[in-house]
Amino acid sequence: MKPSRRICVLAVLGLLLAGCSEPPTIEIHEPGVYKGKTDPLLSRSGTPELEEQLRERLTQVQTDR
Amino acid sequence: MARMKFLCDAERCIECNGCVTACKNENEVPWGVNRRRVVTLKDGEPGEKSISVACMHCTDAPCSAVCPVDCFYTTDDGIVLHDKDLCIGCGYCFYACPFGAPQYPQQSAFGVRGKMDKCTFCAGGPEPDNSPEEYTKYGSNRIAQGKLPLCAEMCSTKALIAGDGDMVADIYRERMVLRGGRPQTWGWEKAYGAS
Amino acid sequence: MKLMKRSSDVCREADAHHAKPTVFSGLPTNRRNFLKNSGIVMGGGAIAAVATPSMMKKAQATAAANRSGETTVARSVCTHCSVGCGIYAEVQNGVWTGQEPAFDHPFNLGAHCAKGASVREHGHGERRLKYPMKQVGGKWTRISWEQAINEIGDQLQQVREQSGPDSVYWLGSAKHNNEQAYLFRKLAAMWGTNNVDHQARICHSTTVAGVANTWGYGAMTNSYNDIHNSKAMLIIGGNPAEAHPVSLQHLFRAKEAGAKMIVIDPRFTRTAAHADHYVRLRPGTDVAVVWGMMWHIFENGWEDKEFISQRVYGMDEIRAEVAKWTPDEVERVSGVDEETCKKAAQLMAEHKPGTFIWCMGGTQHTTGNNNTRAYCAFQLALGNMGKSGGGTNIFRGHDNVQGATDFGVLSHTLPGYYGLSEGAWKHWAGVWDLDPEWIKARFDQGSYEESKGKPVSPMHTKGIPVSRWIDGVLEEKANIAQKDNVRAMIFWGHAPNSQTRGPEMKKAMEKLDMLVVIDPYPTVTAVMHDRTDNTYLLPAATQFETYGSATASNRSLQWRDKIIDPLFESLPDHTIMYKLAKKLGIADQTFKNIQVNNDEPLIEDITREFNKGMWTIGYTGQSPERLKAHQQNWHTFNTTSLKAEGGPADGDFYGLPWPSWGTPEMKHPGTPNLYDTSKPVKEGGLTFRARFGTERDGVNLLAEGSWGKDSAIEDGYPEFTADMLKNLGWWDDLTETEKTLAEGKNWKTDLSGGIQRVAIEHGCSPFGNAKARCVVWTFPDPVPIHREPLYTSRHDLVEKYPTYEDRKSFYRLPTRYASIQAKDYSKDFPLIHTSGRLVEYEGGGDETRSNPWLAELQQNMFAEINQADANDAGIRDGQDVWVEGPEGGKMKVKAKISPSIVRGVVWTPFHFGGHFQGQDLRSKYPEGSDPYVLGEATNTVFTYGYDSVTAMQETKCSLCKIYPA
Repeated sequence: MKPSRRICVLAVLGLLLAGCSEPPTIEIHEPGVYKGKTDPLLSRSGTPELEEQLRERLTQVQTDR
Repeated sequence: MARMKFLCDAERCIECNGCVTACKNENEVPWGVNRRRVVTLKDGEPGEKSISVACMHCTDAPCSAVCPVDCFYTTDDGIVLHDKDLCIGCGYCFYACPFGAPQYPQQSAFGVRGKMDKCTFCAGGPEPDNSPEEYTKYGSNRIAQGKLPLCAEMCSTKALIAGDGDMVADIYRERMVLRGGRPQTWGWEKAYGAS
Repeated sequence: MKLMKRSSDVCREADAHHAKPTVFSGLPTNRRNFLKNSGIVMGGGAIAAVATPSMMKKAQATAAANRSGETTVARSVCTHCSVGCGIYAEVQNGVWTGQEPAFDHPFNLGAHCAKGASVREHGHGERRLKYPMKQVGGKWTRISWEQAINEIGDQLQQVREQSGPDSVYWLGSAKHNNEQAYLFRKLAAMWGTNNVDHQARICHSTTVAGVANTWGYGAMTNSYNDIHNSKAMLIIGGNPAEAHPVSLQHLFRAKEAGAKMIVIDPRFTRTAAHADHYVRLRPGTDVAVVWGMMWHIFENGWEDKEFISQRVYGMDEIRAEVAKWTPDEVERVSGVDEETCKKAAQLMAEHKPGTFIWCMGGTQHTTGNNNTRAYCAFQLALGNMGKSGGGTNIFRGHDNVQGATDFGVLSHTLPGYYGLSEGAWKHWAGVWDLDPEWIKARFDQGSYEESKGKPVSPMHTKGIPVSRWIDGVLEEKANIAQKDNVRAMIFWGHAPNSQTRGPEMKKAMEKLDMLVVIDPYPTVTAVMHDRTDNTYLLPAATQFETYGSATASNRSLQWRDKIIDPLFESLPDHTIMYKLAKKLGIADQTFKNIQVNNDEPLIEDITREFNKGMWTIGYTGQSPERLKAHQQNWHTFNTTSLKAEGGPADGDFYGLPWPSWGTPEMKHPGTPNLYDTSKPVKEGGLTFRARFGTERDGVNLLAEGSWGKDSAIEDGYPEFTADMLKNLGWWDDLTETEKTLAEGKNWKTDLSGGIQRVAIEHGCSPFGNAKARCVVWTFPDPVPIHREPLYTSRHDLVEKYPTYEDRKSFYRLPTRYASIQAKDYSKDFPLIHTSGRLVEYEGGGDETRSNPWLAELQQNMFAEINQADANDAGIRDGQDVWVEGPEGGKMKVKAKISPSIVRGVVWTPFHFGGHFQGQDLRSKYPEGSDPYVLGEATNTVFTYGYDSVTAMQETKCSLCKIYPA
């Protein structure tokens, strides 16, 4: 290998190694608040009426009469 | 307050795929997208077990936590849903999900993934309930009609149960008493915590 | 954002109408890996190539757009298997928009398998055959119904004039409802032939023959629901977890209450995965294993001696045969060791009542009738018959295969198992209100067979069975017991790929003058041959597009509503039958007492007509009105006993499981469990049928010390006749009208139903009270014995357990046995080949492979191979391999290495078609009606072999070799 080329390789190596020593910048993701449209279902979900309906439905699914 | 949960009783699941086609039927999910699938362990050997898997609608859902555009929301009864208009198809939720639930209509190596799609517990999405818009984007909204997910309602052996978690647990407990065996509640702890 | 692929342009270019075959890139390490990989494979353009986006758009648009407006709900029944699951179909603006679970249905309680949960797709029907078509110069050309019927009719008449009526073959279907099945058999009779048959021949014909010859009726004795009462369940040659998934709900209920579940199968199936005890046998050794179990039963005195002495004939002869099956011999022949075999026997002996379940693995053999009778003998020995929780629960296949069998869409009988005797024809001519001489004149007047030295006419000889139609075409004319070869085939709802000897079938199809397919789909019949002309495809409606009754496996008749109008230009089967009959000039006779509106015969009139004639098996009490009342009151029936508790059907069993004796006015509730003496006959009880005489060689064949509850005769008695009523002093119990009709008749032929009514009034079974027989002296093997398969892997056993001698004429055809077995093929074809089902598909699969929701789940035909055999052949998992049979048929499929199958055996599913010996036939389908998934048909490789009583085909035990493709 020619000396000029050896220098080249060393230079590149040096540059690469220099990259390794850079301080890491890790961004921690913070879960945010829902930003989408409002689901009309939310006004009903968890209401006693709908819950009762869903409970009755499950009884029907699993019942053997 | 009721907390909606899925439970797959591995003692009863026979991998008939009824839940998979019930989902296709109810939500007209296209070819290549599977909101629900059945996984078989020790296939063809003694000890073989099958489990039907979809989005479990986890407590503190990891998908929601990692979403960069915050498109997930949870209903009061614990159903995890998302807004497809916001979704950018980045795929983070897929990596976060312990059940591999999120699906992408586009899966070529360098292409855009397309909007994420997953099981909605048959509760549609953020559009007027049972409107054509909601149906085309998210599928059916059975919850708004007082019905439960069709996959569980149609399960051939009633292995897959969906509904108020307390009732689901009661049904399962009764079966356990009858069988006198070890519980086979695959995935429950992971999804809903130790309780 | 729609749930849609966006690569539509790619696919539109590549494929406007024909779906391209998918490229499978993954390795199937698991039975479901095909699905797991599908998401990836389907990623780019491939998905779009299979299900075109335009199709999805359209389907979504219809569903979305129509999900408003008034909803009507129809009550129907799934058409995919014999469990008979109830369906609620929601219809808006004439479009089937929703499918809701029928929680109140007594069979399924809302549950469905993959097929049942996807039946709404029938409402899309994108891949259906859309209008009548005709092959002209190799191209499919659209024609009108009128042209189709005219051309077909003219050619049928021409064949008739040249070769006689027997040269036309009428291949009917288990997909007909009861009314259509009955009409189809009647139509064949009016045409003048017994060359009529359907799928039952190749699924449970050996069951029907074996079981009916043991105790009277050839059907499932109890019901899926009654299994709740079982303490043990033995499943042999059946994989209900895939073939009848909803039945597992009932099995699990028993299991969770403590019942033991035993599975005997060469393959570790999905059902076996749930068993308490699994027994692996070599295919084709059922008799050896059953006798092996009975060896332990007799050895330990576990048999029910009282039951045997009162209700069983011939058990001593069984005992003598069983004595030869020592544990060593059982293991030598079947591979089942003593401990495993004894445990199965002991579980059944110690947990009673126990039920015995079998399916195709037991029936589809050259010795199928021996297998089914051995199973019966086992249950008789344990005294499990005629008991709730016991019985032989034979799971039938198609949704109405029980009904189509009962209505005699068979080459050996008229409706109701009356047979083909002169008396049988006279009975039906009476019901049809026709001159018997006119019917007789429709038949070929020659004679080609002899019975007891006298010539018999074709009217009274069994026709060619569907399993052998190809021989009817290909065999030398001189060797066939009819005037000429079969020259025209009508495939009415039948998949050709469900039958063996594919390459020969192709030849037969090509030799036919005319080939007609009447079906909702083109089926493999449209593409597997190289015909260029004279092939017709007529679009038939599905059972969701018409209405009527269907008989589930448990003998219950269920009424279906029509959900939607026939799609495209399709027509219901009975309308097509009318059009054909009119063209052939036999409509006036066929529809003499049936109202016809705009070419559509009135279904209810057909039901009422068969109610008037089906006395043998009690299809007489099920009037349309009673059946509709049951359909509207699903919720009133108990889900274990099936008995209505209150409500309009109070006291009836759901669907009036036959026999529902007498006239509808008699209100017999149906018979939930056959031969159950703990109930009076009028409440669904029964004795064993006195079908085989009263005495043999001085031994009494009638029951001794056993009779039905409330029976006036406290002993055995023969079947009821007019004379017997007189002798008993019961004649005057008949009304005057009944007396006129009953004079000189018996319980089967008395059109008034009076004889049945009076017998039942006195607590007696109209068909007598006899012993079940373990020895069928009219069969080739009176006592069931083991015989090696024709293509056996154990040629060393042939000397001791040889097959039958070749026969000159069996169902009109020469039939080979010993001449095939003489040669040892096991050196060149070292692996046993057996076949079975997948949950996603049904039968030949044309319908289910055209349903994208199902097709996506199983995209490739494959062969399950044991790791060791794969290594020996140099085959890796997921690789393309050739499977080749000893008759030269071969198929190119994916290898799936699986521990479910033992070394030396290869298992293949039989639902695929559309590829033939490596060639993809997709381009041969009419435009837009090719199923999404195509694949090689396993029956291209399956070989010759027919049951010695019914000509059932052998599809469970042949030989093959595998090598990399």
